[in-house]
Formats: sequence, structure tokens, C-alpha cells
Amino acid sequence: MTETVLRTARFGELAYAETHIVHLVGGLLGIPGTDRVLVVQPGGTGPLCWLQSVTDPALAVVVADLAYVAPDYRPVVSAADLAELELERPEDAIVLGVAVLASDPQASTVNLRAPLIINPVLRRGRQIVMEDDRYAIRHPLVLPTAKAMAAGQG
Amino acid sequence: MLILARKLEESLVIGDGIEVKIVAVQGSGEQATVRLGIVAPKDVRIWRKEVYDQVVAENRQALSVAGQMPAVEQTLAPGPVRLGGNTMGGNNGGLTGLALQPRKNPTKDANT
Repeated sequence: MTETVLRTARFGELAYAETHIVHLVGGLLGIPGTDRVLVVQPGGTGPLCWLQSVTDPALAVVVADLAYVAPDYRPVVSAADLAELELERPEDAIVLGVAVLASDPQASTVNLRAPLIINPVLRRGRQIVMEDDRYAIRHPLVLPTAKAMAAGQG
Repeated sequence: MLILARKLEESLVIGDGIEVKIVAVQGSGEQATVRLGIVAPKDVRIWRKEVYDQVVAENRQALSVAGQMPAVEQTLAPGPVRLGGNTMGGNNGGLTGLALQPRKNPTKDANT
């Protein structure tokens, strides 16, 4: 497998193969250069990981796996989006929220209104914007404890 | 900006396959509400502009904050988890199979 080395601003050199790339259709809304990303999960980040742009080494953003940080969350995904991502149902997707981390952890937020819906098999996803305002763009980000994480696994 | 007058039930066609129809007009003055019916190809996404703008602003904010962040890896949260391994009743391989480890963390693949 051919590996390419990406010299990133945050992580130094990242060696990746084509099969690591997640294609975000349309990218993060309004952010050019985010339609092809790598998932980077340094040790100890819990339900957080980074999405590193392949095209712009300086671009990386933190996202949270919403299955962990918002267990009752049920995103409404349109039929067109499901079809595009070749998902039969939203439950088959990995759902990530773009996080804004504050130095005071109490003030960190995650975007539940516009989640990233990703088909992990195809490695294809899209940032959708939900019609109804039941979910907030700045939802408080509460990270589960280590114990809860362990209990939730499996 | 192109400005056109339309009456109730009249439509506009934009480009190839996008139609915008005036479905209802309610109230007047600043309280006026116009209901639009939109027909567009599946790959055309339609957003309310104020919500779209908020999402874009939040994405920019997240990138800017992330760009300035010190290493959060050790401080933020409990240990590594299987991303997507706990999705909402679904069954999939998760993202962790894809996840890369930065080289600055020495790992056991050093001998490969």
C-alpha cells in the first residue's frame, strides 16, 4: 500500500494511504479545503478526534463522536442525504459534531444542529444542517467520565 | 441583484431544474411572510440563510480555536475509545480503523 506523508502544522508528519481519506461532500460548510480529511486520534482524547485536511496542512478541527457525548441524540437525515451516502438508516452512520473547545471546559460546545454524517464503510460523509431548531449550534460539550466510557463500550 | 415581481402561484426557474414558486403570502409590512415552494435536483442543498451563516461562523470559530490550541490530547478526556463503536443502535466498523496516530507518539510499529 502506497503511503503518502503529509507534513501537518499540528501533528508533524502523518503517513497515510488513500484508504484513510474520508471524503466530506461539500466539506465543512464555508471552509474550503475540507472535503478530504484524515481522522487523527492521538492517545487519550476520549470521544474527541481531529479531522486534518489533506489539502491544507494547516487546517485541523476537533470533532466529537456524538454517540458518546450526546447519547440520546437523533439526527434527522433527509432521504437525499441518506441516498448520497448510501446509508439505509441514520443509525448506520458515524455522527460527529464540530467542537469548539474553551480553556474552561465548562464553556466548550459542540454543534448538534449541523452534524457530520459519515458512512464509515465508504468513508464518505457530509455536514448536514437540520431544518428544525431542536438541536443547538452551541450545545454544551460534556465529556463522559472514563468509567462511563468503559461501561458504554462493547 | 436581479429583482422580479411575482404573483401568488407564479414561479421562477433558475438554471437547470430549479423552480421557486410563491405558494402563499400572509400579512403585510414588516410582518409579511412569503411561503416558497422549491423544486430542485437532489444534489442541490437548500438552507435558510441565517442558519447556514451561523453554521459557517461556528465552523470558522472551531478551526480558529483548534489552530491556537495547545496539545489537548493529555488533558481533555479519558482514554482512547473506538470511534463509532457505540453508535446509535447501529452496527458498523467505526472510524477507529481509519484513525491515524501522530508519529510523535512512539508506537509499536517502530519495527515495521
